Amino acid sequence: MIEGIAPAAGVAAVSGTGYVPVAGAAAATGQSQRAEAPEGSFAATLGGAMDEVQSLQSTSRDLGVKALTGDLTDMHEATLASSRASVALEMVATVRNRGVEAFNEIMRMQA
Amino acid sequence: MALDAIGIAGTALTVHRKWLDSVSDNIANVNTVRATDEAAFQARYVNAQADASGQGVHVAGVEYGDAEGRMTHEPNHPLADEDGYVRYPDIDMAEQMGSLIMAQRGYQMNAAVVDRAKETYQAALQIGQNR
Repeated sequence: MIEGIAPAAGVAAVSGTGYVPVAGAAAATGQSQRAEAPEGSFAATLGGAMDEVQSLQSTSRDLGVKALTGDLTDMHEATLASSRASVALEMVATVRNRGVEAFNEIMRMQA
Repeated sequence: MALDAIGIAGTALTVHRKWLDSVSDNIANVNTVRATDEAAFQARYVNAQADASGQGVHVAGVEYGDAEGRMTHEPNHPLADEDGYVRYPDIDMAEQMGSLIMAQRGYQMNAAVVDRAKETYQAALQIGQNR
């Protein structure tokens, strides 16, 4: 062990990020895999953001249907919702890609 | 919530849409004639107000123009009174055209804000990507 480097603290955190949920536990509870991720982990944050995107997309979809059926009073509401949903999705995708990039960078490290 | 510029511009788009609606109502009724024993068509004016939360604008209500209207002598009009007068609405078409242009430009301006905000957010997502 090299002196001055805190041992294993980071490693313990990595084991708890919830990237790979315990298969048996997920099957037993029947919940989504996100539920396994500890609070504040990358997976949980990403999952929360994904939920947000999903709700924005469903709002956008509902307004799209309203526009087609003639129930929409404000045209811009539908286009704004779709803009919002697309920007939010881009953001979540970017964060996810950066996370995976960082993970791959670490995997490429060699002694 | 996040993505606020889009939401704020959205409230302004709604206000300008309502303004456009009121102007179109005024222009549509510019020749609406009433008998002298009832009120003339009253021009509609939207009352825009800043949101209390500091996040945009909303229409607080509608104000109505002069019910007196313009008394016009048209003895042959079926609605004319015994002196031959009818009420025309007191709407200035030039003023309405000015309002129409302002409402349209305001709407376009806020639509541009939405576009710019979206471009800005996308630029933020591009940071560090060109390696």
